[in-house]
Amino acid sequence: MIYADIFLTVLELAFAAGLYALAIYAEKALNPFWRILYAIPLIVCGVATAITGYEISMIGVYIGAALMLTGFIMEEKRTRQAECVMAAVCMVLSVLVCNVNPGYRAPDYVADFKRAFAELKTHYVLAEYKGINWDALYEEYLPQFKEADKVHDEVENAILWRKFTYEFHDGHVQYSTSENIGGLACDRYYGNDYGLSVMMLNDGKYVAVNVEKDSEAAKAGIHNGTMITEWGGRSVEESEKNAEVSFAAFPVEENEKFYKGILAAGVGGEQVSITYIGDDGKEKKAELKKLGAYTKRMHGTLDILHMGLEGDNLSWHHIDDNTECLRIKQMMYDSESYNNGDHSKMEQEIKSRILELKQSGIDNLVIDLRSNGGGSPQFIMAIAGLLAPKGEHVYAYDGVWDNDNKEFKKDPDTGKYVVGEGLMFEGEDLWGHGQIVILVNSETVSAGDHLTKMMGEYENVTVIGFTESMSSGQGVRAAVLSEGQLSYSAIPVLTADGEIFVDTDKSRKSTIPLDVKVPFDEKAVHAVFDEGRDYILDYAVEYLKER
Amino acid sequence: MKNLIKSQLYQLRKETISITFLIVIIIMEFTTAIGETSFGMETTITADTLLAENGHYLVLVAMAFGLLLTAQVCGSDFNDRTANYELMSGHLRRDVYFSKAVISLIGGVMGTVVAFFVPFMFNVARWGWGTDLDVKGVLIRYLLLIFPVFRIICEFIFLSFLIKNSYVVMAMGFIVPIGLGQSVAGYFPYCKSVLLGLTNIYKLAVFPSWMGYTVADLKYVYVYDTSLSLEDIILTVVASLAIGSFFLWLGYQYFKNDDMR
Repeated sequence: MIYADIFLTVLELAFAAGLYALAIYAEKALNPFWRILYAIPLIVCGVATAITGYEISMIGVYIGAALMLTGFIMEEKRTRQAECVMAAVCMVLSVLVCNVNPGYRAPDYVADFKRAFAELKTHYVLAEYKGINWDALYEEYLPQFKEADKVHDEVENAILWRKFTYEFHDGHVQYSTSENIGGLACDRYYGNDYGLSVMMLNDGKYVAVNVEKDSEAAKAGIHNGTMITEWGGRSVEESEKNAEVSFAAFPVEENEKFYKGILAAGVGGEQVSITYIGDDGKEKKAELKKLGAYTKRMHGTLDILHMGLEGDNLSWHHIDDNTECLRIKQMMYDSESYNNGDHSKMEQEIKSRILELKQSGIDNLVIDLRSNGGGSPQFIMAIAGLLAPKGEHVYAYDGVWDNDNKEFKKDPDTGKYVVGEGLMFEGEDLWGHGQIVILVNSETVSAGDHLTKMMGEYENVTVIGFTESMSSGQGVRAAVLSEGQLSYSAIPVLTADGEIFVDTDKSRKSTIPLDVKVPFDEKAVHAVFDEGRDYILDYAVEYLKER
Repeated sequence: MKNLIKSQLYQLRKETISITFLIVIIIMEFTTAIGETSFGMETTITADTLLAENGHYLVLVAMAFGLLLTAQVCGSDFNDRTANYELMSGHLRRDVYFSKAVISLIGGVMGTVVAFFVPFMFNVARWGWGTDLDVKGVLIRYLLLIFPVFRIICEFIFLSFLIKNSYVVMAMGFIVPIGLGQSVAGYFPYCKSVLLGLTNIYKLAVFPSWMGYTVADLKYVYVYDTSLSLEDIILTVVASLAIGSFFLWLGYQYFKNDDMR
């Protein structure tokens, strides 16, 4: 039971006890003030229910409060006392019902879905661009939400939301719920841990990664880089089809392919049989017992892959005599500048540092945007302005708001959004003398995508990564649901000719391609998973040296 | 009962306190409705923006007049004990109670409407309606607001007969809508239940909205939803009438057997 219901029940029981004791006095008292006391439990109950909401399992408490009101009309001592006893019994029964009813205070998942769906359908700005089939989605997911609602399965509800949001292939369409439910959902759909993850190399082979020391897999001779040929009696690819949900929306299809195999490693029962190529080159089989939930290992594998330079946001790192790295974890300096858009203080700090580096003879600048979660557009302009070639540059354009129809205006002929005001900035070309490398991964999103897109077009900038950035860059809003929160792209960000800025269309091809794609091969696996090296940064430094 | 109502109206005409309340409330409403001014700079605030941002506040302040009037009508006779004379002169308690209740309800609802509309219409005349809110949707919501106002006045009729001190009830008439009303909004922003009068007012006067900034210059776009489901309309009407009647009945049951000093 929630505290509010416990408090109300205890309070009402106290009223019942008090009014029972008062029955003798109230009968004799001439002043009707004492009668009024019998109405108070119902009034208090009404106020509490208005605040906490109606709950069918609490019906005993509501009936009990109403029963006590009859003491207001029926003034005999015995009647009042009997009513108070009956009220107390009803309330105690209600406590029992609350504790055995699985639907007690359960949110209405179907109502949540319907409301959020209607909002998305009205305000999601990429529906046509991404070819969203609303009717098909509704038909597919409504029965599933009804099923989850019927059994009050909050974890299944979270899983359904994740599945549903991933249908959009938009990094800004996200469902978030409590850490606890989110964790339980992950445990359910990522499957079991058998002591290793699997990933596909760029030549199509599947190999073991993040292998647990002293596990059955390790004892069988499987180590990082061991080729896995079968998982659960089928090819890894086939096995992965049994994985329930992916771990990201993957607007870029190529990025999704990079993580092939990782979900297969959670598929299986109490134990799973795998076939692999041993160090002697012979095919071998092993039976691996389940160690627990796969969530921790899979997230661990992803954390290792997505690792950026450790350090604070906007921290500088000395790489070698000729290279310095600026780590940008998020596009935010402080809350004040985020709210008022004035990043002049940050701009000045970075400018001073860049000029210092220039004076000290540093030629190569690495900007680490890996797993950058986005932030303020003004922040991006401040950074890009310092490094852009001299002259005026365009960041992006707004849509035009149609206040009559409550939507962003579209050109009836082309179906594109009408282009509004543009965001311009002046380039200072502070790094024109040297090279700039931007490091990205599939978690570089939103404003991180924007900066990569803008700077990627400058001549001295090279974008490097295992994968392209996420490619989700529209303005976001969130709908608060009774269980969780749904965010989605609600404000168009456009190019000069009305095209969608950054986001992928239905073809799911990146609009921010890499200049240099770091091959994910055996060498990379050993460097990343055995030696714990920042392989992408090392690769970038080598690249800069060669240039 | 007719004579009792007439005497109540006569009493109201003779006492200036009600008019004073009305003027004070309207002045309070004007300060919000005509647009904020600071450092000599006047801010344009169209009627729809006013309702979208401060509509609930305007309603609560206007309702304070209805509550003050109720306290005056139902409670002042207890202060000077003239209520005893009414009863001694042969009038039934039922007639005394319901004559005061009818005057409070009609006067309170009408006074609330006047206190709300005078400054609001001034705002419309000055700044125009604006483009953010749909007139039809707003009209339905604001007409429905009469129901929760009705039930809160009923609750105050009950309180007046219970407390028998018009000054205390008047103070509550200020505190409940303006102080408690704002607190409810602050502490329970998502509470829009029809079971409580104040939260029912929030349900009707606060429009669901969404906003987001546009990229170019951090301009905010606000979109308000003025529509109201049939279920909400029915619930508002039924809950207001049922709870209002309950408190009227409760007040009468109390007054019927009250020991007058």
